[in-house]
Amino acid sequence: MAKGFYTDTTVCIGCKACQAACHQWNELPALNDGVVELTGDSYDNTGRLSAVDWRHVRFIEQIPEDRSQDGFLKGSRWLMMSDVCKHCVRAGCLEVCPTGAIIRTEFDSVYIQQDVCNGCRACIPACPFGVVDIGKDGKAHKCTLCYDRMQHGMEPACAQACPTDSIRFGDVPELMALADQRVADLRAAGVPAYVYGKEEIVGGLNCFFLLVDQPEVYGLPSQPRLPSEHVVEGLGLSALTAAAVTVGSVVAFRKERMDGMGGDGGEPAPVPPARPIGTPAPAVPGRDTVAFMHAIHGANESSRTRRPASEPMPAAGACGQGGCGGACGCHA
Amino acid sequence: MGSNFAECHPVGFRWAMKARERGAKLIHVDPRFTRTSAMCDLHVGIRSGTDIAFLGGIINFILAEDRWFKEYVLHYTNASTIVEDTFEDTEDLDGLFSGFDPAKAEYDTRTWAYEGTMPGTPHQPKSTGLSHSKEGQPGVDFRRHPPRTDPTLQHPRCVFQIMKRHYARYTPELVARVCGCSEAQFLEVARVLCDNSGRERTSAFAYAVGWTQHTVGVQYIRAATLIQALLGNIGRPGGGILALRGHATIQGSTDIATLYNLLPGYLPAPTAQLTQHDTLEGWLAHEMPTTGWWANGRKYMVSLLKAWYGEAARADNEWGYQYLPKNVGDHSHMPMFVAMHERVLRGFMAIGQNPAVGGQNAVYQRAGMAKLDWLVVKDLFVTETAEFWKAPDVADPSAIGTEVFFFPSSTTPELDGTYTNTQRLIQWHDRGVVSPGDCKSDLWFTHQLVKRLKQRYAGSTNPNDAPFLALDWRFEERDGEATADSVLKEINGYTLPDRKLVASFADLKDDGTTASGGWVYTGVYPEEGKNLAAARSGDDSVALGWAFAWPANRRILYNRASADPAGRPWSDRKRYVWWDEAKREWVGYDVPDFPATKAPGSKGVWAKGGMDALDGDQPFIMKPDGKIWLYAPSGLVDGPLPTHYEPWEGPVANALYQAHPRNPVAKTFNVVGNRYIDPGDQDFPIVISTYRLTEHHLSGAMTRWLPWLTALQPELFIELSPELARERGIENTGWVTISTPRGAIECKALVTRRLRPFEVMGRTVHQVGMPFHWGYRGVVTGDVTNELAAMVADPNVTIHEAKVFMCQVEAGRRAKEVLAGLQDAPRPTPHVGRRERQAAEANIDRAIELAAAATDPAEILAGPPPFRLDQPLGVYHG
Amino acid sequence: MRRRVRVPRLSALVLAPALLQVGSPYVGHGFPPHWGWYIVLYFFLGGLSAGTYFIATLLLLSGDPRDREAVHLGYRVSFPLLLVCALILILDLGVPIRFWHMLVASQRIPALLFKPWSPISLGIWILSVFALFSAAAFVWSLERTGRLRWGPAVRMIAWAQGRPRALMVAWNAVGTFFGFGLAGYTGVLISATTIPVWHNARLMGALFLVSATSTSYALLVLLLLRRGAGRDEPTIAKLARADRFSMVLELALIALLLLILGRTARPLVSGGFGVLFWLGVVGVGLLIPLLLRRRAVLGWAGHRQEMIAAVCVLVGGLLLRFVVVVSPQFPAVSLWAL
Repeated sequence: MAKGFYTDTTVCIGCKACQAACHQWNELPALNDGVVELTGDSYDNTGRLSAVDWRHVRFIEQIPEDRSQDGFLKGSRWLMMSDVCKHCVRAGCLEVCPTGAIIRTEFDSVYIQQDVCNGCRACIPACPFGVVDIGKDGKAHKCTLCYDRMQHGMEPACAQACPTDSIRFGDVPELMALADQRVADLRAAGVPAYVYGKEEIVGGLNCFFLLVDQPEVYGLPSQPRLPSEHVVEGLGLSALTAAAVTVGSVVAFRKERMDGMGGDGGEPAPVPPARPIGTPAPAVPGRDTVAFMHAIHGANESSRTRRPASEPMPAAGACGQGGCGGACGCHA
Repeated sequence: MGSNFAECHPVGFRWAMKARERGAKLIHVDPRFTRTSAMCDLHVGIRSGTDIAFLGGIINFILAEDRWFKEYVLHYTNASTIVEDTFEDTEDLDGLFSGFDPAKAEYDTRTWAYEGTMPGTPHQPKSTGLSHSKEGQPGVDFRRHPPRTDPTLQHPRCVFQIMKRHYARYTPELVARVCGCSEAQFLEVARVLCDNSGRERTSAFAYAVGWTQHTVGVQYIRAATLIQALLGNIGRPGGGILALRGHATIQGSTDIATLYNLLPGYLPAPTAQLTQHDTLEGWLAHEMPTTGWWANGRKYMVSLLKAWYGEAARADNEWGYQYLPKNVGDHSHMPMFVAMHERVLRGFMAIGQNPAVGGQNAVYQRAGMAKLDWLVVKDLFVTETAEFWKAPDVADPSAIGTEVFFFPSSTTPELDGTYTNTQRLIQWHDRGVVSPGDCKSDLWFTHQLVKRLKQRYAGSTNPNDAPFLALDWRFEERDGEATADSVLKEINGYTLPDRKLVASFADLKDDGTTASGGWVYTGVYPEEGKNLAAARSGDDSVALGWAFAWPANRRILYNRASADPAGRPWSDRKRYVWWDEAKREWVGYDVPDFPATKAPGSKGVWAKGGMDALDGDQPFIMKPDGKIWLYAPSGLVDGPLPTHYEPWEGPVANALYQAHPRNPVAKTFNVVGNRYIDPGDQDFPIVISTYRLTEHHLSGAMTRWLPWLTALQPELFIELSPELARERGIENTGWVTISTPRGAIECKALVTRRLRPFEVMGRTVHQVGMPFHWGYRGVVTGDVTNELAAMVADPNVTIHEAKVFMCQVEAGRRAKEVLAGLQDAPRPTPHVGRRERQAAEANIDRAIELAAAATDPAEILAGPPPFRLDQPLGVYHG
Repeated sequence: MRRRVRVPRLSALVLAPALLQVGSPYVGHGFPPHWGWYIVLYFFLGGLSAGTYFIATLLLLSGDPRDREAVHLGYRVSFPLLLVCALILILDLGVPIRFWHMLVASQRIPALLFKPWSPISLGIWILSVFALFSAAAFVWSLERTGRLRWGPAVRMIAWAQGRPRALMVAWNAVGTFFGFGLAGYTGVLISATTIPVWHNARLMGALFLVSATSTSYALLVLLLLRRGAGRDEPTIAKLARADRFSMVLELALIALLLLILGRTARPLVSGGFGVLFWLGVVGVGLLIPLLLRRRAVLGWAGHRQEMIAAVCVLVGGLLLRFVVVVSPQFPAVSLWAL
């Protein structure tokens, strides 16, 4: 049974207890050892999910500029949301990981095996939610859904610490049912709530959210894409282009060839060499690799006389020691 | 109101959110739009320090719109009680109540008495610092007869009529003008509140230091009391006025008092300034009413003395009453630091306290510590207090003679003990880990200290040492500390001489056969091996099986009021405690807070005194007349009714009173370095409020050393509106200088629309806010916000006014220049002058003489001590 | 010329619909992988290695004896570059010692690890396989030119020489195929991310591939010229011509790419990277060389001009990788900040 989080942002009070609990349980270092600058971005000073912040609370101030006497009465919102790895049903990081370090656990969570990861960092841009990050140890880190706790039947630290039950942990279907009920209640009360993380979001999120505004407002993509989406397409196009390049090049060479035949290049056409013993007659001179080898050997002297400056080539017969395995005519 | 519930009490707020999920309406009235506001259905922004105007407006609304709960108010409050004709209202005296003495800046509270109950014994408080804590005395003498009433509420001097007149001017229009909210907003709040009160529904107020930290702090809460009483929201489920506590067990620290003016169990501490307190009998007569539950006061006091002095407490020595140290003045926080400056106070123990950062006018308080002979700091980290001599403003630490002792302290998970939280719930916690290094618990520290002192005083004949010799210090010892278990047992109480635990404070006696270290807790440990504080069988309702709520495991106080006068539930929906006619007793979901078999209809016999004096429909048994006091004839020193005073430092004139815009009896400290800003001073035009963030705790002594937390809130900031930022050319995250006559500090700006200017009395008033978690030590450091705050206090409990004062805000880092500019406000120097010394010597001699007078048994038998303090030590009156 | 230009036009006409029907470009946010110079260089050198192999092979197969030198040059450049690539790639890892985890399932040794749908896994295998061909060609070239006298190698080659022609062709074709794979997958790798400008750039593989060939042509031309070959020598001439073709194709692809990226192309074409892109990649890398090869400028000696053109192409190719790889990681940086 898939386990996950249901994060109800409407009851999140932005206390960051989840962030602290996560740090404590997972023994994560504090961002820059706790000495950071005030961001001035509401009450958010850690910025984003990272290798050391597996939970991150966003603060979105929505307060109209006109706060005359009634300003605070109507239309003022301060949205808070505890972001976390979504443990996607179709996980981008899992898809691209070339080492098999990222696995899907028996709880259907997505887990990075620290003893396998070699820090290629492919998973970082592969995640549509910007969850995975590289740590100081050169390995990729993200929320483990407290795999260790789950293995002992405990709920993840953040869920346990959350004072208002904004973060709930459990079996995804049950959580989803809860969320749907809550959405219905909120809708009835005129709140435009909805669940972010149903199937249309990369096949579903095991850690989904109840939001009351556009996903982008919370820094979430409304239509996250999977990295593998364009691989086949991209490879196909590359193949096509490869073909185009080859054709183009061949054409370019051929033209030179024709010009060469025309003799305007001033270069004598290669002298077809004596056919070596035991080699099939070339259908088209010059297209025959073996013959080409001879052409090269035959051309040796001429080329040397023509361009002494050129690299020293072994004289014919220099290969007489059988260097050419008798493929050439020298020993004939 | 007056609290940032979600941010400062997030765990408790869980329940507010649960209620909201079930359809409850949450309203937040606060100057800032906080994380709490974000969770509420309605947020009303009002200027700091105008809550009484707002609440008064609601009271007026209730009375004018006739929305009050008739039956409840008639029977359960003193609305019908008639007041002495000596009483005059602020409405008649332009901001003063009757009995004001300009010389002493005090009221003679006797002029506020109920008709015909003028106290026989005159009451002469020598210091406004004294909290004559227990209501009912002095000022009211119920010995003769119950207070007269007029059930028709028509009598011009009945409380109801007085209230009506007092609040008549608190119209929606006035509220909007004073508070800076709109009439619409105010009316919406008033309506929601009234609509949600009555037989079927109840509303609750939750407040914290946003209400208390004012020069009229106590009256703020009184104002809420009036509303809740008029709407019938007290003693009923879902009602009440909830004090949100800022520390884990601050409730416990008032129950088993760490306050100078209280003994455990809310027994007033004896003071040398009241002749009545010279003897136990006098103390009892003066402090304990004869009617209502407090008539049992003698039992509790004697049991306490037995618990403390054991064998040495005998009937022939007033049960050791004279061993009790007597107050000689206001010994609360701020006066102590004034006393340090005067060298009256020469040694100081800061245990789990960080005044160097948390104290009002922190520079003054640090300078005070610099004049001590010795300072003991016991804390988790080496706090700013432990290193006050390293403060940025200290030019030459070597000039400071204070000897500082630091004791590393254990923290909660490292020790057994109890938490008592806001709903009086005593919860036991076990030691989880062993303290690192030399860290020791407070129990260890106190236990060892006492043992050593007793050794030190052993055999002494000096009467001053008598109390220590008499002290009965018998605790089970483990690892050198008194076990929390044995301490809790002593607090619970036991019989003597067999030392059998008692099950209820009803069993406590005044004949010396019982001992109890804090009668309110009695029952928490009813028998050996049965520690109810550790009980953990809860449910989703009253959960009587979860821990123990004093008194007697009652979850809602005065819950008899949840039934109508006839003992029937007000409504099925709100059924809680009711009279069972068949069983002839009170039953319900909770432990009834009323004599179990006292029938609703029974009439009290006044002459009998005690509980027998009260009728069966008088639920408020801690009151001498069993009623909620809408009008407080005594117990308060600044007025029987809450009335709107501007803060000590306010931006505008008082819309109600010209002559006395501020609380006339507010406690002020006219000392060097504590200059106040006069109302309307344009050099300091901005209203500032200090507060806490979720991410840190108070002065940061527990949190600023934790990188996990400092990363969440790394730097000191000032929250201000875009309007003010534009006006002053301040950028978000740009540097800002904030100054008052007390000091100037620098921090970064957090420009946010969550703050806004207020339109007040035709003026635009800017409001800013600053957390006060930062100091000069720790993982992250920052300027000390409290260097800005003034030492000025509420006269009842000497709580400072940190929630509102005036300041100046400028862009850039200019603290140094600004400080240089504060010529007329010389900063206190950490240096003791000769004049100060001489004054100090004189003071201290008197103090010693006094102490002797107070504690020498021989002298007491000879008669009242000859020496009386004509002026309390350490306190100045402005 | 006309004919040459038509080729990309045609391909564009064929591909455009397929490419543009994806609708609005993806604007989600993945986080930058901290890929820096190592990766840029790898992409660049990998392309050169593949390209030179491809060209050498093509020349070999087209069998003009006058290209002999170019063939050997190509083969002898390809493999060393590939080694450099492998080294760089390993050094770029967070835990270099674990590079083999990409080939072998470290927990189920000796089970191999191959995820064809993961470009990076695919790429590692392509690289490895191509390494064989490149190495073989390298050895062959050494032996042919008498640099290598090691018996086994000599005998191997002799044996190989003895195989039927078709087999040789097939062998070279397969090698070239993997070569193209190496040149192209890097671009696919880029598009197999969720960073919009990368994700939407499904033409990146093609672009890198063309750029790889063109830069390789330039490299060979440059080297040949350095060895004193004249500009008008047939090999040079044909290489230059082929290069021109791929450059035109590259231009076309770039145009098409920008068309597809739409607004998500901002990181590439704005700020300091934008300057690099337009002036460096398009200007220096493509337009200037094309110009230099069309007519004499500043009366430079022809082959000097050809050299300059070649250098420009190489610079352009490097800049292309730099801009593509780095720009999305530091959006809208000014030129001076770079």
